[in-house]
Amino acid sequence: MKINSKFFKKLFFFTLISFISIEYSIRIFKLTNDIPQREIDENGLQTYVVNQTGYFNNNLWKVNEYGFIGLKDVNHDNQILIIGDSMIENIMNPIECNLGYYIKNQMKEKYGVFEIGRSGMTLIEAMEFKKKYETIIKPKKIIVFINENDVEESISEISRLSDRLQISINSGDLEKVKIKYPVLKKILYNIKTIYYLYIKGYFSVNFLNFQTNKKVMETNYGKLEKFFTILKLNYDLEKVTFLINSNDPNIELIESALKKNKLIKFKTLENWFVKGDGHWNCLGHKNISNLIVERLNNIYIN
Amino acid sequence: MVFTSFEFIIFFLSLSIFYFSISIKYRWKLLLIYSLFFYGLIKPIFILILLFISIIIYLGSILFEKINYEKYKFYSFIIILLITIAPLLFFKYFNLINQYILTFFERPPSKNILSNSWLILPIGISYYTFMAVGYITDVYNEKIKAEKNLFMVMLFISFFPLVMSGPIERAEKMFDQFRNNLFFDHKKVIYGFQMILWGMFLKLVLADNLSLFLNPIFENINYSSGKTILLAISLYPFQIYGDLGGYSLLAIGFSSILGVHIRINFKRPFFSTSMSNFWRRWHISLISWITDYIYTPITFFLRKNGLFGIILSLLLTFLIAGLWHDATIPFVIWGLIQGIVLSFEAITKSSRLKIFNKNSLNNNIFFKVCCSIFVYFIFSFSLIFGGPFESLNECLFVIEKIFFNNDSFSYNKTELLKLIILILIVLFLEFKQEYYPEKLKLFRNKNILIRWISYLSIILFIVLLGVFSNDNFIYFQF
Repeated sequence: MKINSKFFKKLFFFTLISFISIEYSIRIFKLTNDIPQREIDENGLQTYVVNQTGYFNNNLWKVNEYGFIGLKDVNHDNQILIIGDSMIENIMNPIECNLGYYIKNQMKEKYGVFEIGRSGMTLIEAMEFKKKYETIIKPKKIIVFINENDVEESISEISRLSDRLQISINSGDLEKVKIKYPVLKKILYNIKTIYYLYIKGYFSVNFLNFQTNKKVMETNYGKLEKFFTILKLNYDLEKVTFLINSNDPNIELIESALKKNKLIKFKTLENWFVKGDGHWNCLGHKNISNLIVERLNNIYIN
Repeated sequence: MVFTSFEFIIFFLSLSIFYFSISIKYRWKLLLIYSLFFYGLIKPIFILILLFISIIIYLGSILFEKINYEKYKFYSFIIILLITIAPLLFFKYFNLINQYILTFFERPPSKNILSNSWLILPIGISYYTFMAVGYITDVYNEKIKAEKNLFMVMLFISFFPLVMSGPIERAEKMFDQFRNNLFFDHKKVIYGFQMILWGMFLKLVLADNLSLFLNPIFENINYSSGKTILLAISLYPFQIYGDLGGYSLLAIGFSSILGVHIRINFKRPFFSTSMSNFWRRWHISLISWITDYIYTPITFFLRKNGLFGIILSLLLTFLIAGLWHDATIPFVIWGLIQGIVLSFEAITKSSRLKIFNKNSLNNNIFFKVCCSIFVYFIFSFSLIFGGPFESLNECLFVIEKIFFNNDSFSYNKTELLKLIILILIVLFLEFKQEYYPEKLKLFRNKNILIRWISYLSIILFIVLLGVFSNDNFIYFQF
């Protein structure tokens, strides 16, 4: 075959120029969100690599020295510890929209707030974070947010998810965690063109689509009950209040497993969510914080 | 797997590497394997239809050459023709006829003879059936010789750039290219890339952004004001143009890289000065197929009737074109509108020419642009019947709303502004190409810097404004 090498050189050079131009355009116009990189500690707890900064929905985020992007009050007399998944992490909103900010403002700085939020956090991981940070923060009150699937995803016998901290309800041991597709993620997050095309739906790669339906929940009922027994045995829940959506498919089970006064239940409205996203917007955070403040006031008065 | 998808890029890349690494004489065989695989990805069983049609036209065409007696030859042609179009008629109209029968006998839809999965229209069946019909008709008319290699016929029918949505190519041109033209030619490759770039722009940027804006309006006509619907109908031709025109360019581009030249399917249709001119620029391959295999035989049959024969031929041809799109009353009306306008133009042709010559309007660009706008709005109006609305009631409701509903506009202004800018870009480039083809050349400029900046601008438009999550093409449904 007669190959026109000049043509291929030009083609290669043009492809390179195009790629660089696209990459720069995406960066200049901030068309992709920055995702913080993670690391795993010796206990299998995933935090973000400290001192990273970036933009998400044009809001600046910054990872603090503890590996989270929320509030980090530590020396307040009345400390509150808030733990949960991406709802608590709240990377998609300005930091002024975090639950902690609203709580502090409404309580007129009576409380200091430390937020441990990270997307994909299971309930068992939240409890492990509680155990670790209880000694550092010395909180008066701990709020743990339970999102849909957080309970199921905590149990390895239901579905083994190697990138999440899970517990085996048969052995009672925590399962080993590893970060999934670290190289691929690094490429995806650093080469903005690929990430941009990915989020625009160009690559039909489905990393993880874990869904719970009522049928699955029913078949797992025994496992979930056993999980809560282990939870109550292994973790001190005295200071803990769980924050949960009253439409959660596991609500009845959770209510019977934990004391009712241990729960703050809420119902969401459509305008509480970021458009095209399943996370609360500022209004959502404000309304949820009102419920928490109400509960804190009751405790304070009583 | 659509041409704009990531999977297709992988598919095409793997084909290209393999294709240009093997000897030229095996390339058409590789194309056949890849084409059958490509079509099989939609639903493997659909390959059987392709193979069935290929075998029928292969045997039929050889049979025609063997029969010497004209009458028998004609009968065998009719039989082969009916067998060839039988799958198309079955998939396109069986369900409709069956539903009429069930309604007539007041039986529930559950009593359908065949399950719905059997009645899904195989994508592209119209296009490869038309190509097959063209082939056997040409062999029958002794315009071309019958192809002796069955696999070559299979490749002609299943050639992957054309199989899903055309352009509808002719056998004489394709067989020759499959045999002799499949070599690497960097000029063809560059032309292919240029077509792909512009095709991607038309599809992903223009058509898909328009669909995001227009579909919610068309789907909620009850809640949209008359003015909003009028706006949507006025923009709809650009969506179809971007969609089918873009797809055709992609097909042309990918074929060109492989060494196969495919004729252009759209030629700046929005600069047509009359409806007859419009149909020589819009979906050219389909219209020329209709002209050769439907209009011309009807005109020949009605040749003794003079102008009346021509008018009747036009009406019948576009009626068939409407029924091909969908066997519903709105599409019949759409076909009739085209037929009536074209008939009017045919009747008034000589008098119009006299007026144009007398007033020196033939070279007046302003006059031509006014004519183009007029043609555009006739076409837009006809799309009320030949477009997004399914029933006649819906079409009439839309017309009533346009004329009698005075509610104010309700649309996203920023989005509309973006769309208008995109449309103006397309119109500007096509205006330049239409009236000043030698000025401000972009893709074909001798200066490499201007060429590359043009390519890069289009690429940036595609990446930054393209809609990548839409895997649908309007003309797949036909």
